Amino acid sequence: MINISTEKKIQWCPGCGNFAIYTALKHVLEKNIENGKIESEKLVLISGIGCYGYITNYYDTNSFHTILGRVPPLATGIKLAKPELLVIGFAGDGDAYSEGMSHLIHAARRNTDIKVIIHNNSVYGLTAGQFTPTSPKGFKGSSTPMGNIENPINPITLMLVSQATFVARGYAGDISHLEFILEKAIFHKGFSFVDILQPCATFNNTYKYYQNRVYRLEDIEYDNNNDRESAIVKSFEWGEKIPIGVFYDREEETFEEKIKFA
Amino acid sequence: MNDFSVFLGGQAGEGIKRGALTIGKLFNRLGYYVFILDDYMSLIRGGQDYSEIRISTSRVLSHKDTFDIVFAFHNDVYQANKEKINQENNMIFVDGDKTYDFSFESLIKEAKAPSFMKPSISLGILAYIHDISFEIIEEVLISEFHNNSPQNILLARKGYNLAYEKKIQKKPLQLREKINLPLMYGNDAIAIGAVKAGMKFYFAYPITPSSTLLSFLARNKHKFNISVIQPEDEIAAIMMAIGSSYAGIPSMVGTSGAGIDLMGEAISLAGGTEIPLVVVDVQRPGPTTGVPTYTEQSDLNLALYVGHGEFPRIVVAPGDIDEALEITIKAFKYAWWYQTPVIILSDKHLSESATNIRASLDFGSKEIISFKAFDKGFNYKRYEITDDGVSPLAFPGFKNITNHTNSTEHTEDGYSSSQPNDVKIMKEKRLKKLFTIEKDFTSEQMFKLYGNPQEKNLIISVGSTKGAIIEAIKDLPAKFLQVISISPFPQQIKDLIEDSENIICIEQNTFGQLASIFESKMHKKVNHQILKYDGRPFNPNDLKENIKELLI
Repeated sequence: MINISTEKKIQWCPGCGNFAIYTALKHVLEKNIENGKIESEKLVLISGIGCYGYITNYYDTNSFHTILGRVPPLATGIKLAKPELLVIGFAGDGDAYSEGMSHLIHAARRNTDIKVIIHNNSVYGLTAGQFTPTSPKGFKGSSTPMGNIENPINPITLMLVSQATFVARGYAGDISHLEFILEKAIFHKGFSFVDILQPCATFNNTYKYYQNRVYRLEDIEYDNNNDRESAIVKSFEWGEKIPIGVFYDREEETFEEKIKFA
Repeated sequence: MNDFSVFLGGQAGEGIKRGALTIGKLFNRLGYYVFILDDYMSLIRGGQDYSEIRISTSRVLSHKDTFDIVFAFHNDVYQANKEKINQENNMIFVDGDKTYDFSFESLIKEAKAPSFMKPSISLGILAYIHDISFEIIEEVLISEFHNNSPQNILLARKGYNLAYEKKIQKKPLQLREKINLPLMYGNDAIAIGAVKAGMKFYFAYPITPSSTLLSFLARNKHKFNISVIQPEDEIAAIMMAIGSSYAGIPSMVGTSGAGIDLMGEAISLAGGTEIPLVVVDVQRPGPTTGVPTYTEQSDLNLALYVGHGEFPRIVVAPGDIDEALEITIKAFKYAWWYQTPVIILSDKHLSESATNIRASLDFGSKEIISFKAFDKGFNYKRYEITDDGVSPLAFPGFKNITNHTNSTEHTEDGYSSSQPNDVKIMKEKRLKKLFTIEKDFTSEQMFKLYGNPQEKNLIISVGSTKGAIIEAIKDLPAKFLQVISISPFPQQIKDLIEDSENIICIEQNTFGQLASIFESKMHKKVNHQILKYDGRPFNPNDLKENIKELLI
């Protein structure tokens, strides 16, 4: 049995959504190392800053724990230099959608062959509870005691209009579905984007909120994942019902392939 | 005519820079050494741009700021620069001027040629004045303009005929043997140094005056077998370079001061994660947007201190075109051997002036980069504690290698740790590396001494001021110490400066940054400073007068 866990003690709050994301990716990687589809030495995991950032300590693979917001260009540099590597980046809603948002958009439109997994818990946990670009209006955080006055962004729509070639949303409360999405994302040739709705057990516990709303796109015969316009329309759905699953999946020539002849 | 300067002035869009290079190549072809200073404004059209093409029988590393032959396509650019025209033996060709009664503008219109071809008229006039065979003019124009050459040749012919009709006085050149030292811009030399060192990727976001480095590499990427990437900003550029180094592939980043500001956090990242990194800062006058297309040496402190926290770094500053190439190669060696950031400080004057290069341009097959490779095969520790603070390097993609690179403080095997002992050990490791670099640099000769070592007057400087200084002190009782590595500061020079009674520090900034660094590192006082901060480089003649006043 392949085991890619390290012996490091995982230090997240009990009930943290990071556990589900960590476990889902671990299962997907171990399964595919086992069946020979992934060579473990070719794996590189990158993380930015946040509670989730320590995730690279818990996988026994090549890793680079970098600075806030800069996961996409670091991943791009690694992939450009050694295209045979499988480069998977973790980022939070704080670094991917705030400080490093432009990098995410540019990596998407280049179709760099990197995988970006977002731990989206709509709160800065490590700095004790401030609002992020995905916090809802009215969110009472430690820097917005009267409630957040800003509109949240929609990461799925953002990535679709930025021409990402694989766009999906997962939910940390549905591990088996998350594994299904992550496996697809990893084997997609080109830029893969997975936004994962993740409760923060301490500062923004959204389990109940999401539990009652999420449904799987795969359960409704959603067949628009080849058509960007329809995917964009679907991405607006957010409220009583929140779709999770693969919104868009279409292969195109990658940045690394094009750069060889540019 | 052993040493004279041609002034070529007009508006942006009138081909001044290209024209100056073509004139330079012509005289180079005739066996003369050339130095070209391009003075241009931050505009696409209009303004008053000019180039000084200095032509000499001996190697020159500076412009003169004194013009002997003047071609001005508009009266305003002439008026703005006429004080710098040599009062004796000058020849002045200004559009519409009464002396020769002709107009570049009407010649261009007559030939139905675009105005950026105006310099070719000057080339024809020069051919007549200096009795240069028109075949050579054609040859130079063909090699420079390929498909556009017929129109340029026609214009040169018009210039030649005009000079003939106006019976302009001839000043024949002495025949000289061809010199095989190509004319090149400083940024091109940095680029070639990087390629020679083994650079495979160049990451850069456009910013004057480093953009010419980006475009030179982009233009030649197939020849050099490299990729040139222009990402969304400077931060992405440096992060991609860090990624490339992590994967084991040498790359470089180029920018100007404002870009270094943005890269600060990533420079600290490279220092803390021990990633090889080469960054070029082509300085221009700051602060903030400043004077984008002019020159200054005001990023010395920035280069020394950019990035939070403490980590070893190397800062080097080439002073001429040969060093631009050679020091860039060394920067790669240092970055990969010590696994830490190396900043190359250039400036507009060095990077965007053209002169003859002596350094070898052959690419050869010799591996230049070497590093302490991991050879045990298993149980790899990215941050293994060693005697010199440098850990063995291994890259992802190899069996039994797990490379944990970590921006949070870490253990030897690269796992995050905030335990006091781990923190202390890693900080001391990086300190040890700093000491190793300082020790190694005592045999690295990162300085040069010019003039008689016995002189009591000592001039110190760094970077592109070198050319003007060497020329200025030729007949003065002074020696010149050129500092090449600002960090580590060369300790060997202590012996050289011991007997100096009068230390004059020359730099292109307002605060005297080099003087402060010198005083703190050498524990010796600088007696005088010559500072220039109008965006224009020192010229040898004015500088000589400045120095003279301060000599003992």
